Amino acid sequence: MIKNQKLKYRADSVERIVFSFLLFLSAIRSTLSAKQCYPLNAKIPFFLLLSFFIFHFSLTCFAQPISSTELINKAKQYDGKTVVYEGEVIGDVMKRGDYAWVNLNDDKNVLGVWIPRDLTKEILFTGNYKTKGDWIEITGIFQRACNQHGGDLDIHAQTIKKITPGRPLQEKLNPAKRDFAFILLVILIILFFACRLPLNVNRKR
Amino acid sequence: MILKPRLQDLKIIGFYLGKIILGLTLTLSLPVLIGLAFHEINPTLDFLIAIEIALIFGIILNRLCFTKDDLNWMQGMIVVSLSWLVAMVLGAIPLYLSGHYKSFLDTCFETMSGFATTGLTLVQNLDHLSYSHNFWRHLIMFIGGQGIVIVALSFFIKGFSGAFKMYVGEARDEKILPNVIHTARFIWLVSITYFILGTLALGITGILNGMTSVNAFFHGACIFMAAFDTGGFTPQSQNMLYYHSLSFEIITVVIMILGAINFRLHYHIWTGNRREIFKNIETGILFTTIMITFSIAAIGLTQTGIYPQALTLFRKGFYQLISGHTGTGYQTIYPVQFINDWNALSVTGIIYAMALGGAVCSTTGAIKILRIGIIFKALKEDLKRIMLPERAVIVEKFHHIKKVFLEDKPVRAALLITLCYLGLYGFGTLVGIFYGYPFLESLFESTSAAANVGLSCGITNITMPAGLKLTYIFQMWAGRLEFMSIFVLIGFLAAAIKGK
Repeated sequence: MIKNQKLKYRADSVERIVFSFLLFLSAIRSTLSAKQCYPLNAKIPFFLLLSFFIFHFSLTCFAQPISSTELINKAKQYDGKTVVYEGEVIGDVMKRGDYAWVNLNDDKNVLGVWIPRDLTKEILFTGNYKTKGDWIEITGIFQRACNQHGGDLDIHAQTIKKITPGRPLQEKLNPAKRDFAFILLVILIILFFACRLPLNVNRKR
Repeated sequence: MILKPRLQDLKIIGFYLGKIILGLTLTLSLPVLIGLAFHEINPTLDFLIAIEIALIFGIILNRLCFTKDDLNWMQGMIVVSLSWLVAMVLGAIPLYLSGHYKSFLDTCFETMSGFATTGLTLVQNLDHLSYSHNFWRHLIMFIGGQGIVIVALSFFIKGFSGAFKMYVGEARDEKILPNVIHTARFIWLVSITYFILGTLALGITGILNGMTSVNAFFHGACIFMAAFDTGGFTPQSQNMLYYHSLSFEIITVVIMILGAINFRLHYHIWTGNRREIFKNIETGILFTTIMITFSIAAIGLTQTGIYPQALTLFRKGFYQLISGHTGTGYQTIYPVQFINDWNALSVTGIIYAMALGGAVCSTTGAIKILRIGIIFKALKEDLKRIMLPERAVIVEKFHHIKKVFLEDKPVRAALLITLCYLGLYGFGTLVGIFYGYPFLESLFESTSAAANVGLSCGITNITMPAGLKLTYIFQMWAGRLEFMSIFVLIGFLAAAIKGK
């Protein structure tokens, strides 16, 4: 299963290179066809600029992180594709044999990522009330209903990159809450004694 | 002629409401202990503030409305319906102070969803919520599942005849033991025993699944409270998907089913009468309805082809179905997947399951299977009456703890409550459509709210209109209390305005 996924991932990379190369060829063709309109010295920078943009675009469009909302809402479209996803590591890194489950929160939703255990060594902080977790970027195969994991919507990651390291969050006492609690306590004490007084009077009577 | 309520009525209602508020104060102190244990300063302060506010109101009500009079039926019902609203507001205070909610309305939605054991949530950034606030979210499910009044009955109100009126008002019309207080305590005994066993099972599974021991047992306790009380809150925003674990799913299925069983049946199992499981009408009907609704959902899922493997289809389909049928609301798929990846047939199967619910005198909501059984028995009796000779004596009976002969009164009650539920599901659907949501999604979310389930297809989120939030709050409240105490409250308010 894992082997198949690796093959699929390689196939995706090959697709990407072939696509870039085709775009590159089309750029040469379009530049040459401009021969009649422009002199040769104007043609060279035009050619270089065009090929740079095409190359740059073709390589980066696949490397753009996709949001969890996009992945969940268009799950069918991304099913089986290699995607880049980034988010904060939250909760526990749950190690299962040679792999581990990491849950990544991109501030919209949380997606489960199945990741080789060795790659989790980079993760030092996981998000909770007292900690901001590491913000990491993963590249992997998105599955709408993963057969290996009981139909879960998940990503099987191959690479991991730490974007922003996490940190412990310092909790400071909120003075407004402290003062409010104190005022309420005073009211409560007054109320308590005010309630007791008439009872005592009744008893004396 | 409608009689205007007397001052004494208000005093009695106020006095017992005050007692219930004082009972709630004690439950608010549990998260304080959690906050202290995890060194959470501000969350601890949030709960102290809530305790102080609750104490102030409780003491004032007790003092101003002091009375030695007992409750009558009307007053008992009103105390119950009001105490759920008061609990919603008081329980919302610490959550609102946490800063994880957009508005106080959202917080009230959350607490009503918790107390009514629904599980629809509007919390933001749940993954960074403190342990104490998270614990409170789950504790209110445990309290609501047992019944807010049951808590007060068990610990704060010593035996008095009005206790049974409040017990009935909280949608529990079956006494397990002759005394209501003993019944309430038995419910607690069952719940706490299962709590210890369930937390241990989930905690150990969590550790084996790679969670830290503290988190494993904390999650274990929270998940148990929400699963046994058929609630549906989870400590993480992914719901059950966070755990990625088959064993976790199996354990929660067992806990959900235990929560959906009648406490009277639990009593008989505990006292050694295990044959009752097989003889009881509720068990048979629960099994049948699960099979029927699962078949509908499974056929629908097969049509979509999303889960090509039979085992995967069973795991996903059966889990959402049991979660819906027991009224829990745990999900192992993302809400929008119900609409995007499942088809209308499979979603309809889940809606049917949600609408039916579990056993009476359990922690589930919805119509409940005993009523479905009674209606079918009545239908069978009527058919027999038509088909058999006029002189034939037709007697229909069923086994529910003991042999029960079918009479018109329980049939009428079952039909009335069923009709009320259908009306409530329809009302929420209409409001959803009014706000521009499609029919199937509106029906799904409305049924989930009114039947106190908590499964969501994505409508419930912080951006939904305030009117819809209020509608769902009303549905959760009315659905949990099974209408009667709410009708009495409405009648009481009408009498206060129009009465002479």
